Amino acid sequence: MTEKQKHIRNFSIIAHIDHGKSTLADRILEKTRALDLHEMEEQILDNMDLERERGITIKARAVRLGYRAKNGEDYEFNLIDTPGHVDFGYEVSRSLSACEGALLVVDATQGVEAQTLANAYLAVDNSLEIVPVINKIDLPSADVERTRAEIEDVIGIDAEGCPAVSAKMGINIEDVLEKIVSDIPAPEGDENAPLKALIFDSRYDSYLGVVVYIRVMDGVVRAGDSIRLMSTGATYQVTEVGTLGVTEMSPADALSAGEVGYLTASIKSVADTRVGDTVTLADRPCAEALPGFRKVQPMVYAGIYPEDGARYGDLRDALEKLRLNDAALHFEPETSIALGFGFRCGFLGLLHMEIIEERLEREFNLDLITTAPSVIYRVTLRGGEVRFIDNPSNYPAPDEIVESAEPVVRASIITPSDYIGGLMDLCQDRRGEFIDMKYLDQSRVELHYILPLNEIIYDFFDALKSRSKGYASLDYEFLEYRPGKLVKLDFLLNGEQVDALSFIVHEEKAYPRARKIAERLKENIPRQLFEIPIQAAIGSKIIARETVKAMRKDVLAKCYGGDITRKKKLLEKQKEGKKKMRRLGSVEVTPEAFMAVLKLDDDA
Amino acid sequence: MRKDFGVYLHVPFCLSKCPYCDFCSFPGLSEETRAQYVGALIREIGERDFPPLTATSVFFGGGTPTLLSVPQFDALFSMIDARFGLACDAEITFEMNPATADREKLRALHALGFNRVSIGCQSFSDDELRALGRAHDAEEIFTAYEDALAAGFDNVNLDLMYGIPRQTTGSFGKTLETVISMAPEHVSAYGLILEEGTPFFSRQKELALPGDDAEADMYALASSMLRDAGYRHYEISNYARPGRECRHNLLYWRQGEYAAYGLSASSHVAGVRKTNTRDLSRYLSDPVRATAEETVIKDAEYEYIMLRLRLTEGIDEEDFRRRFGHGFRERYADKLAPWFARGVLVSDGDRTALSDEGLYLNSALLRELLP
Repeated sequence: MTEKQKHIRNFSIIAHIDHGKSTLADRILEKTRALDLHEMEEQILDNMDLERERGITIKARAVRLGYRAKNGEDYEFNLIDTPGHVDFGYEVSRSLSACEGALLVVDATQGVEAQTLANAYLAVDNSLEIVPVINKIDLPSADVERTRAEIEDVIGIDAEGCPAVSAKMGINIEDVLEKIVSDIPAPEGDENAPLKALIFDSRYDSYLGVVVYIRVMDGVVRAGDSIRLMSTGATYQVTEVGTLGVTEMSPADALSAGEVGYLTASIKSVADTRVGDTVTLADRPCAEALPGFRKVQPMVYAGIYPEDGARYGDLRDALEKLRLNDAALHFEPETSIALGFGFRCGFLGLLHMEIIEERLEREFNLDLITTAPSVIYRVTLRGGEVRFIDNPSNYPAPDEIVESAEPVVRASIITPSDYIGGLMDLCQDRRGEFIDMKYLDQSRVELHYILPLNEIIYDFFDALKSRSKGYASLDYEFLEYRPGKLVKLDFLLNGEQVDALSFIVHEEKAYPRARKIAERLKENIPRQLFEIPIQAAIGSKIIARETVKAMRKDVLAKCYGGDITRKKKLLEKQKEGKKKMRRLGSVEVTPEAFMAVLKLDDDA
Repeated sequence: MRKDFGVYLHVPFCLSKCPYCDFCSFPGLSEETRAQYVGALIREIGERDFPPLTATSVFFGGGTPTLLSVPQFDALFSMIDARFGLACDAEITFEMNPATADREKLRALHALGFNRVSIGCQSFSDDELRALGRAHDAEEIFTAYEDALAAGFDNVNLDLMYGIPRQTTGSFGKTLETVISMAPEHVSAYGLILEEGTPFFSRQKELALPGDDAEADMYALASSMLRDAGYRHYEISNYARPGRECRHNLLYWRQGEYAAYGLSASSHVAGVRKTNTRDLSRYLSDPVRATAEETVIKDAEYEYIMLRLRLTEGIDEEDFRRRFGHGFRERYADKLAPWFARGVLVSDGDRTALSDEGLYLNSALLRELLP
């Protein structure tokens, strides 16, 4: 180990949601005087508005901090923040693998919770040294000793003498910093070995091109080096390397084994710098890539359309801009009879989809119509052709299909044992196949299920939370495609099929779901001059029906004296309001109708 | 035939503000402010340049005009008479709320020349009146009505409201029965509208409103019961014994001309509509130049359609063609077709009108026809 490495500490902070991860990060930044207090905005690591609002971290971030320890020596801390949602599980695991240790923040009023455990496991899987930090000791209901005992019993790590802090009040933050120095191992790695660096994130900068965030495992990288990305074999000339400040990047001569920083190499797209990939030197490559790399594939597809068809071009430009920074976002043009021109977009999961939608609406000022998300089905046709279907309207006719298969995931649910019954019912209801159940301690259980992905992409997470008072956590990974009795459910308004409403469903779920969706559509179709039948059909067979009654009242009954202008203005305003409506043949529909198919769980 | 001409006068005083009301009215104005307001009205009538046509209708609306004193009524009435002159058969109306004018005052107003009174009843259910925040009960409506008859009024309108919180078709039916037994010459029945900015608007979720279907039922009930009792349903919300249609309001719907004075009042003369400010202090400081909005009517055809389709008499093809150079039905054939198909728009060849059911969908058709 070099002298330099001895003074480096690479770590993440992990926690159950709301246990104070970001607040602790703020305090650490403050204590290491990484920036003046007045520069400090709360929770600076979460630097998208959206992240701050939702209180979750979406993109990984890293920052280098300087700390003079009580032993008089100066240390370099690299704090790598991790995304906090199951959609981004892969990114979390890559961020953790860039570190030697993790601070595990536990709320002293809540104790160990599901995500605490899931995160702790993830850290253990990545061979990280875990430093528990008991937070919120300023609150009257804080119970430090009980929390300490729980950490030891439930997670099985030593919590004796772990820091007990209040991140909010800034109490005992020094203890945490000293623990980082004393407990988290310094990075190892051979400076003289061929370059081996892990990409844990990247972002697009309009001046520099892609900025690649790396952790150097072995070797050294300098500006001017010719590098190779091992998954693609693509080579680039490094234009700059450096370290990551809180608000700016500082160029450096080199990054060597154990260090965290960035490099730029005139790379045009983040799609070329996949998280988890290994960077090496083109003329002196390392023998093998770092383990664990996989290309992240979208799991969920949905159609996104501009509400105003004239803004199709704006939507395309916006998606292209977002893709610069988000390798997981896929899109290609598609056309719907009902919705006009739009894009079929692929996402990691539903949260990812919501984030993209929200950013499109906020940052690009677009009004969107989104169709129900779908997974990718694998359909084998007569004659042996195999097709992957990401859009239900392209689903072949039943008599052409030999076999259809859907993706299933292996899901792990950690929950207090009180909620087992409700959660097992939920999984059962979502066609889950029970694998096993493990008691983690007397009160905490881990359930394993195989679940069809299409049953969990919509509202499963919400249902899980509501049935467990928020305590259960979910993790899942793709397992395989499994054949199933899948059918395409179509909807007809006033006798005309609406392509954007079609979706694929398991046969045994078709009837109840058709009924529920018909009801939801009814709520989203304003009454019109004539009554409108809503029909759900499999092929030519109608399986559910609702009716939107003809309207009976639409009038300004009041006499506004002689103020005719006011009446006319009211009518004009109403007409303007109606413009948001989508016209499907002879029927007007609210834009929300296309999402009506999503909300399935009444208990949620 | 001499053309009708109306004069409207707005009296923005009231005892208390009802939580659904967004008319321009103020409770609790001092005696002094009211006197100032009357002075301002008199100045406005004297100095604004409306044409000196003989008035065939005069309408004192509000607010609650009966909060004016008899001498104030007298002064305003004389001013209008002096400025325009009154036709011998002029319809001269004032609005009142129960318990705001006794028999003696009503007698005095009749003696001044008023010949029509419009009483804001809203409902004959005390529960419903409370829900509306009205300052009177059912008993006081009867008193007001008897007093009006005793004072010599033989042309009385009773104003009703439906769609009241917790109202049912049954309770509205009882109110209608009561009204029919009182046998006024004219009945207005307005659906409650939640106007933005009113307390009802912000509290709408907790109001237990009957809902659109129930309101449509109530509307239909009013139409059939009043029809059976000998009233003509002549406008969406208005019913009258034949010949007792409100001449003043008909002016509005037939694009007639009218002068208008006071806060928020709208006039229509020579193709221009002017609406006064709703700002009391602005009005008091310069009532002659208090116009807040002036519209030169560019789209006479649409306004014609908009107003005529409120009336059961509807649109006369001949009249329409004479005014606009083309027929109504041929011009809008595509947009009208579904309405004819549902049977809510009917035509006998000369006239095209919304049916009773269709009148209650009036806005939907008008939005379709908006240019």
